[in-house]
Amino acid sequence: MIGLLLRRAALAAVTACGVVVLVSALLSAIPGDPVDAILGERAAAADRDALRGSLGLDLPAGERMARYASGVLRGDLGQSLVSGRPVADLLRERWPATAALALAATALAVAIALPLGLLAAARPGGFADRASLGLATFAASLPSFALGPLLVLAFAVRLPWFPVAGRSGPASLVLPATTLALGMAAVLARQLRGAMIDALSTDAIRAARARGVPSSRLFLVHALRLAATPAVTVLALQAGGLLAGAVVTETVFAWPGLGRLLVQAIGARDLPVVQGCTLAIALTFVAANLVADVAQLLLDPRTAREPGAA
Amino acid sequence: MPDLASNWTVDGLEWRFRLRPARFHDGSPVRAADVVATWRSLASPSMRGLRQAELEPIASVDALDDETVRFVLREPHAPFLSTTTIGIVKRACAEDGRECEVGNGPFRIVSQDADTVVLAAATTADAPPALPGVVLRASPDGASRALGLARGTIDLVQNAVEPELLPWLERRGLVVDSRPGSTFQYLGLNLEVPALHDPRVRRAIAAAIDVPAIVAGLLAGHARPAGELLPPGHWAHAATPAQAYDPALARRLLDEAGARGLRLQYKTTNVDLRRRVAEAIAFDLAAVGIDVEIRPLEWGALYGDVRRGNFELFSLAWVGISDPDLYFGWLHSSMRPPRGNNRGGYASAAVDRLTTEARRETDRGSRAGRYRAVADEVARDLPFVPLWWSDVVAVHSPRLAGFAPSPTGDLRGLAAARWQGGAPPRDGGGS
Repeated sequence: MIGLLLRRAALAAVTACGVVVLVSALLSAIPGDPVDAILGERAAAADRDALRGSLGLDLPAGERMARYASGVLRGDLGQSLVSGRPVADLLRERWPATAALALAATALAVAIALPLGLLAAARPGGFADRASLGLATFAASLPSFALGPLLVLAFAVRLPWFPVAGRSGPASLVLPATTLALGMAAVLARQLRGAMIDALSTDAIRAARARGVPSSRLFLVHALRLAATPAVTVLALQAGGLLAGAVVTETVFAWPGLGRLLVQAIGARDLPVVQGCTLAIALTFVAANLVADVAQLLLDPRTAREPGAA
Repeated sequence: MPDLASNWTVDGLEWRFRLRPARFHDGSPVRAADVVATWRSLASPSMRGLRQAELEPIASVDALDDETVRFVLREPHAPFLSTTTIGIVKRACAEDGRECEVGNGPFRIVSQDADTVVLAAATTADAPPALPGVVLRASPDGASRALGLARGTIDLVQNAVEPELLPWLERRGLVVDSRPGSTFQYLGLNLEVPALHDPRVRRAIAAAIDVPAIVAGLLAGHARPAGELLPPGHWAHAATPAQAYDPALARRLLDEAGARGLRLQYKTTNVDLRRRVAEAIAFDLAAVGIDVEIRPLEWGALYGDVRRGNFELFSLAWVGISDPDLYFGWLHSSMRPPRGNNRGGYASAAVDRLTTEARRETDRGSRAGRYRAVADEVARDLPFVPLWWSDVVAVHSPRLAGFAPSPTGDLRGLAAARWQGGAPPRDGGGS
């Protein structure tokens, strides 16, 4: 376990370095100039040069990257080119909104997927199975920029139960979380169904059945435990993706999270903010992976004995 | 400064502005010293050079007494007057270089964060607004804005509702108030592309585009076909007729120029409506034998390419035009990027002379004459293709009365607006 954590920490450091280098390189390669974005169309050349100098944008790319990296090591993510505020503060402000949304969506997805996946696996080809397949197809083919407004039209305009957009108390969480959760639940339910059917056909379960373990216990305890391992991995990665900022959903619902911050920063070519967001997202993924590994370890101790299981 | 100045006089290089009585939101009077401090703070490096270019012609600014501000310019510079519309802050704040939240407009700032600005009616104003307050909220998604209006959680959206959603909102009882605007949409041409260097090809492109059909079909009629930069009603409007849709003329000109089968790349934003407009223009151009490839780009990338002159065709708009000195930075041959906005590489001795003279001339009538001559030159040379002036389209709650959208799209009209039949059960409006 300790070894796994250490390996993960090392991986996180490598990932962070890679992200800093890669994002810096990409940002200097794509067209678009932060100075233009800040000053706008009618600014004079002298103003542009002055701003470029004061932001350190006239330095060579290598030197900019080195400065940034040494700042990150000291815990300094730089300042927004647009607002002049520390990037770390911006990330701290936006993080809770994204975390709340991600947690709510994950909980909802599990609440939908668990019964649906189990029912589907209990009777493959039965009603629940076909319903879960229907939901999966529906959710997978409906992107959140379409699903979000449809939910708003139904449950915020026709039936004025929830707010249309914005973050204002628990009720405002329902529609964006549902938008995210439906897609997650679809994948998760199908994943769980497959894993359950696989588990039910393993020797271990057959042996348990032969020993006379009641079939409900067999299904809900023995098989579920086996099936949970791959499902938890999928769930953790999905949740990691959500914590990274559900860019589209946050835009549709004007949700003040990391995804919105990233989109705004890209539009304004606010390079330090883009870098800070990307770094936060990459590290979140690494952390989600770690959680998945640890969960797997707890659910199925055999994985710990396999070298390189991390 | 028309809000704060009761009158002004020009004597050579010296401009004197007489202030009318006004109060800051904390009740203290607005004095000439505040104006001077605000202007001087703009020149400080901590302001990040946002308006340094506009300060360049100013040699000095000082207060002659509490009610009189004197600006001395380095050289005659008529556009100066249109730069004197900045908000004035308190002297102490301006001298500190802090962010100042105490102003003297009809609304005062209560709070602000990344997505929301909360304003309340300022009791210190001469005629305090009838609205108790305004909440300005960022709402980045078009569908979400329309749904907010339908639900009644948003009371006002200006210039940010997709045209095809307007009828649906009207059926739901919202008021659509559309008025002629001054935002000028044009097709930018790179004159350094050999084919586009030929004025016949540029004329052919202008004649091939069915602007009225695009306005009717894609903009729900909320625009006026344009023949020049300045809209009717502007003091220097030249009444240049818009190019008539004439595909036969376009084909003939292309044949004369030997440019049949021309291939061009058209850069635009990835905003849905802009893409559809690009597709319509590409369709029209294909009909006369110009093959257009559309490249939708994210805004920062598009703007970067346009600024660097890395384009063949692009579409952008000039927003909120007031002083026609815009022509100087846009079309003067010395204003190639990075110095100015002459991205297409237009060079005309006549336009250079006229735009230079017009900025030194202080008499508005003489300036207008020169700008009309510029419009004539431009109509002949077509360094860009004028498309239309976009209307200002405000969609608002039926209970919001007395709000008049302004041609430039600013929200000053809120100062005169009021709630009909009592305020809704929320704290103010939003947009």
